[in-house]
Amino acid sequence: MTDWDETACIEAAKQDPNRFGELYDHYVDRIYSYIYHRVGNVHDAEDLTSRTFFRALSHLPSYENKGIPFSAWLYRIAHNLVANWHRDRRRRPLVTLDEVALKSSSAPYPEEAASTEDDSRLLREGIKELDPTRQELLVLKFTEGLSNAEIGAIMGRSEGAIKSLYHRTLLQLRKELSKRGLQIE
Amino acid sequence: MTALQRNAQGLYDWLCYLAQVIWAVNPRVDPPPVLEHLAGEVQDVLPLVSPPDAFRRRLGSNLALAAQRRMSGIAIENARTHRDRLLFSVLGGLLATLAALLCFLLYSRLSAER
Repeated sequence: MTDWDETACIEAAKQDPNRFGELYDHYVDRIYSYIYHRVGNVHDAEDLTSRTFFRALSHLPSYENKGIPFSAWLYRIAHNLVANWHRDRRRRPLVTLDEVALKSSSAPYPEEAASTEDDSRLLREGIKELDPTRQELLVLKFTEGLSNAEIGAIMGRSEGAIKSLYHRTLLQLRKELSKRGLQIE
Repeated sequence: MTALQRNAQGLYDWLCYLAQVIWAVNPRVDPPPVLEHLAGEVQDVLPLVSPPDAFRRRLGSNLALAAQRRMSGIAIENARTHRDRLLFSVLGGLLATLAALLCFLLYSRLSAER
């Protein structure tokens, strides 16, 4: 969908809420994926995805494109809901990707497959040890493929701050992995 | 490890650190190769996860229903607004007429007393 199409779609949905379905179809996968990685289970991911889109539907008339793309606006709603979810439960966010990551392994030999899987597990554990903000940054950057500017708009920081945080996150992650005996070369 | 190898390793570590610092402050410079490789590894363990189809369909239907309700709500709201405007206009007209009548009566009475 091009920017023009999206803008037209948003304006149409503002006038006629029945047109909101097109926006939903376009963004549901990305928003669900983001929330899933932030909460770590399907049940809460579904609940928060639903709430994100219902809130978006009711607040759509007040949305104005002031340099913030619609996708960033949606992620911002999801970000706030996930933050509340973590606050309510007073627990650390989890990146439980075990089911997903165990689905496939491209290594041709069993030993290699085991070693690759072991490295992935260590890497996931290392990510879990990061603070929630840094985990969120990694999800937005790698899962969602957003730019630093878009991530900044969602997390309420400048592009430069995100870049710097990203760098510090990778350094911290490398340190965590070294502690676990995994050297990324 | 010989002294030469140790010095070479030290120099390499220092250059890596320098590259990281430069990358952190300059957005046009690519990340150092070591971190770039790590970034690639992270990408592999953070795949895009699709919602279950049943959930996607259910939420889509619920949103469509909510949109319809919202749309009828807007229509009712608009109708109510028009009706309210009409009522206020009639009420305002009546009040103005009553005030004018009172003024006229008061004026007539004062004129008669004089």
